[in-house]
Parts: sequence; structure tokens; C-alpha cells
Amino acid sequence: MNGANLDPDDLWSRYLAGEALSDDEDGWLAAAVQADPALLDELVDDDRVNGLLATFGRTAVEAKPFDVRVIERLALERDSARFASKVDARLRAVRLHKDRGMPTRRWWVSAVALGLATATVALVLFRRPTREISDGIEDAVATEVRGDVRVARAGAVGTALVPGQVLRPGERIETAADGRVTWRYLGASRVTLSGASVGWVEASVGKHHAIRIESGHVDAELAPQPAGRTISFETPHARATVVGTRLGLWVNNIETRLEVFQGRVLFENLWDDSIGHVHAGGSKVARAVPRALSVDEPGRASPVASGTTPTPESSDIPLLAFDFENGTTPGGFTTGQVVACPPGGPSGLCILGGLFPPSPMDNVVRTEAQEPDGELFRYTDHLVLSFDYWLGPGKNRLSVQVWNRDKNQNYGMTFFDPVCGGWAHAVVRLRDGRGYRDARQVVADGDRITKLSIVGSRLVGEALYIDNLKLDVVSPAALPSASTVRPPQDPLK
Amino acid sequence: MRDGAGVAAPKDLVALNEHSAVDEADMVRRTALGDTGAFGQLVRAHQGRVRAYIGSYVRSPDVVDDLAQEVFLTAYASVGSFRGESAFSTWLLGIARHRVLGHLRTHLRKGRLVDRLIDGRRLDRVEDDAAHLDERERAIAALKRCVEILPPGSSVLVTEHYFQANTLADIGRRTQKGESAVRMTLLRIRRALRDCIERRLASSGIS
Repeated sequence: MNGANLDPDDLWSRYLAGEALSDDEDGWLAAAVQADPALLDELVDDDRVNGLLATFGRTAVEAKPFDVRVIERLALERDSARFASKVDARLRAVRLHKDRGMPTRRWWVSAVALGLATATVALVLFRRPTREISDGIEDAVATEVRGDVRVARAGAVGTALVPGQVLRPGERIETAADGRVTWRYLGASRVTLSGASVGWVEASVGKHHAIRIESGHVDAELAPQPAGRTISFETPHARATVVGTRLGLWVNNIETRLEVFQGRVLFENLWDDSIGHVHAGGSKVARAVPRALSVDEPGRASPVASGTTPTPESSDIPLLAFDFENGTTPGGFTTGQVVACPPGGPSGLCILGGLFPPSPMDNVVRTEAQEPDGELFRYTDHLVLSFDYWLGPGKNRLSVQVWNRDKNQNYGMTFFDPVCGGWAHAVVRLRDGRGYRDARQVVADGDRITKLSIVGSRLVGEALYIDNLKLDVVSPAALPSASTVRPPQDPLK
Repeated sequence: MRDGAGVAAPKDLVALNEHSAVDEADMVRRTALGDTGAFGQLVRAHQGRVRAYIGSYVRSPDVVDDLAQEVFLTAYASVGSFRGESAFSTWLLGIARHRVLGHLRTHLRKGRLVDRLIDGRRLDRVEDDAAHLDERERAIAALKRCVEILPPGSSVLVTEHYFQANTLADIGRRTQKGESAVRMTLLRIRRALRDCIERRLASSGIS
């Protein structure tokens, strides 16, 4: 198959029309949307408009009106015992309310008094002393769920968590910004995860129970634990072991902060191996220490001495710098190959967007962290990427994308008016990027970036050359006022 | 084959019935008391939005229809829990969103890579809708307006294909164009509609 003949619009419109694409075409289109998340969004937008139009159309030409069909189905469903009982219960409640009017204040006082009396009797009769907490492993049961809270096994699609659901070890619990879940744990203990948080209940080992918090905020009210039993909260930076207390933990990508309101907590800083008790009213912070980046590689124009740590403060040392003049494709470049520059270039050698014809990766230059758990750099708002580029003469566009390992999504921006068919210089503030999966989510200081991609046209055969690629941390005063891919005097800008 | 002059304009076919808030509150109250006549009026008033919302994520018209019916049956059974804290239409779209989520999660395609990527992104969108149902509702209304102001040639093409169920080949024969040319023209019209929706949402100009 010749990739040069493929056009994503043609493939997409055929796909949407229900035509079966060949394996090659399917693979090509899939690679195109994987390489360019903005394209995937564009296609899903088109899918949505197509679906809306089709639904409008169907609504307009129905033989039997929809409402008539719903009423007919309602009549059928009423024969279903479950549906009928639900409706009947609702109707009874509404009619009771309607017939009798609102309860009086006296009615409410009587009801509350009766409830309190019943609760008191129940407590006296059924109260379980603390020492009777079972030593067996008890389930963590969600008792209160508000907003968007999801639970998922590793690698599976999450489902909405509902009150009464048992949280199994290894299940990942995610609360959205408006989400909040409280689960009962080990009898009288309660744990609450809230507000853009991620955590899970670990499998219990012997009498040790662990709750792992990846990010966000957790509150806990834990009953005094019997001798030999512990509950601990583990974060990427610390472990807080509970003896019986009320505590708060705040976790982000940089640090974990513990505040103890009641009781005491054994707190271990996993980054400096310090350990100690934190008593009621006290707090403790464990902070990640930035790790040294391995930057001394062939092909780097400005190698930084191995062992130094480019941090946001070290503005005199670029985090990345490549001029490709030694003729070797640098090790971290998974897509792209060093070749002679097109005429008029800033130097003799450039990197040409990856050569994997006929895939759309033709036009992608990408560098990645070389270790499985490594990072290319850590994000700050003061990062500026600059490079010279040459794009093919077609109607192209240019995207800069970074893969955020901590948010598990691509961030970036697309420029729809790059210079085509000639050399130009780009200056891109990474802070201008937005999440492709969730545009409202922005990169946070300290997020681990593991891939950096520059994506040219999605038209096959329109080459992308890059030279003098550099990523700098600049001072606030030196931060450009905007990202740009054209000279300032360019009339199209 | 129909010609352009004989084709009804889309604006006559896209029905998003409107009615007053007072009427609606009364219909909701009567539905809660078991009045299926009032319930039928609510269905007529809101079926366009609910089906359009589901249709924007689910391709099979039969499945859209089935899910929309389930949304209204659920609404009938639980209308007592509607407290009027949001618009009734938003409450309905919330039920619809849950139905769509359940359907997409159950039917995530496992075959072609493109299917999986599209389905995954679509699922993300439905999840994101939780906090933006009013915006989705406005987008549906905006599309209706945008369809109404399409240029005549585009309007005829949209009507023939989407509203009168003519195939691409039928339209190609009438217009003496190739099937692929018709397909690409429809793609461009949809993009223009999408831009129109975005402009209207940006200026909150649902006029």
C-alpha cells in the first residue's frame, strides 16, 4: 500500500459512512489519531454532529410518534413487578403528601424524639466495645458517595461507585473535583477521600492494613487499634501508621503533608528515610528530591555535565539542547533521523520527522525518557521550547505535545498558520498547552514529562525538519508574551 | 428522484418543542400523580433533546430509540425525586448520560483499533458531560439554528441524506457527482456546522 495516497478525511468519511476499511487503512488511520490527539478530537466532534443530524432526521420521519411508543412501552413495563412496585411506592408517597399536606412542626418534634429514643435503645443493646473489633480482615464498605467517584480494577474502565459497594484490594478509587467518598473500615473507623484524589485499599497482610493515596486528600477517623494491629496510609513520599487518631493527608506530585488532629502517627519520610511520631496538633512534610537527569548523550549540542540536576532554578543550563551537528541521531529520539537540512537552513544537519512510511509518523519528531520509569524533565510554568523548522509547502499545521506521566495524558497546542515551504523559528511556552483528553486540566508544577513531540502536517509526504531544538527554564521577566511560530513581522501573524 | 426545489427545509423537520416553565412544572406534578397524559406531553416536549444527546454518542438509530425510551421510563418511575434544582431537561439529560455511559461501557468494541480509539474518546466525552449537561443542551439547540441557516445547496444535501434517508449513491446520481464527492461534501458541511455551533456557544448567542 502506498501511504502517500491516504488522506485522513477520505478514510474517516468512508469509516463514518459504514464502509469497511482494509487492515492497512485501519492501521494508518489509527496511527494518525494516536500521533495527533487533536485529530482524534476533530473526528469525534464530526461523529457527534453526524449522529445529531441523523437523530434529527429520524425524529422527523417516524411512522409512529415517539411519545406514543413510550406510553405503549410504559403500559407493558407496568406488568413488570419491579417497575410497578417502584412506581406504586412513588405514587403512594406523593398522594400521601398531597392528601395530608406538609407535616406540622409538632409532627417533626415527635418524629425526632422517637428517632433519638430508638437510637439510644439500639446503642445500649447492640453496642460493640472497641476491644471486640474482629481481628479478621473486614471489608472496606463505601457508606457515602457524593459527586463523581469511580472505582476500577487495574487496566479496566472505571465504574461509578455506589453506597454499599465493597472496595476490594487493588481497586483504584478516583474522586473528581466535586467527588467525595467515605468508606467504613475495620468497624468504627472511617476514611474519606475527596476532591480530585486517587487512592486504593491495599490487600491486608496479617494484621496490617494499608490505604494507598497517589494524589489528593484523605481524612480519617480511626478507632483505637488492638495490640498488634496497624493501619497505615502510604503515599509516594511517606507512610503514616495509625495508632488511633484523626488525621489529614495532602498529597501532590512534590510532597505529602500530614496533620494530626488527635492521637499520634508514626510518620516515615521515604525520600530521606527519617522516621518519627507526629502528635496531635503537629504536622510533617515529606518532599520529593529532584533526581538528576542523564543528559550526557551523543548528539547533544550543549551537554550538561552528568550528575547535575537541571531544576527550575538553574536557568543558565538548558534542560534539552540538540543541534544534531555530529551526525548521530540522539539516543532519546524514538522518531526522527538526522539528515542534511533543506537549503537555507541554519546549519548543515537537521532531524527529519520519523521515517516509517507509510504511517503518518512521517512528520513526527519525538524524544522520550530512556529509562522505563525515567522522565525527560519536570514541568514548570517557565519552560520555553525553541527550534528552527522547515515544513512542506502544503497547507500544514504544527503541534507541540508533551506526555504527562502524572496526569496520563498529552498536553500541547496546535498552530494552524506555520510557515510552510521555508525555514522559520518557533518559540513555544509550554504553559500554553492544554490537555487533549480534558482541555480544562492543565499541567502542574513538578509533573513528570516523559515525551516531547513536534508534529508536522498530517498530510503524508509533507516533511518536517527540526534544528537547534532547545528547552530552557527562563525567569518570569524573560518569558515570551506568547508562543509563536512565525517571525513577528510576518503579515499573516 | 426529488429535486432541490421540492425538498422541505430542515428547519421544518428539526423539532425541539418549547413550552413555558409554568406548564412544565404542572406537567411534572401531574406526572408524579400518575397522569400519563401529562407524561406524554413531557415526552413530546423533551424527546428531541434526549434523543439528540444520545444520538451524538450512539450510532445505531434503533439503540438510540431504545435508550431514549428507557430514559423516559426511568424518569416516569422516579419523577418524585425531581426537586426542581435544575431544569427538567437537564435532569432528563442526566438520566440519559447514565444510560449512554452504561451502553458504551458494555459495548466498547474490541475489534478494529480505530473503533477502540474512537469509542474510548467518546466515553471520555460522556464522562466529562457530567458537569456540562447544560452546555450539551445548548449545543443541540445551536445545531438546530445552524442547520436552519445553511446555504441552500448544503441545506438540500443535508435534508436529502439525513432527513429523507437518501443514500450517497442516490444523491450522487441526482447531482451527477461521484459518491465520494458527495461524502466529502457532507464532511465539509458537518465541519461548517461544528464551527457554527462553537461560534454560537462562544458568544452564548443561541438566538
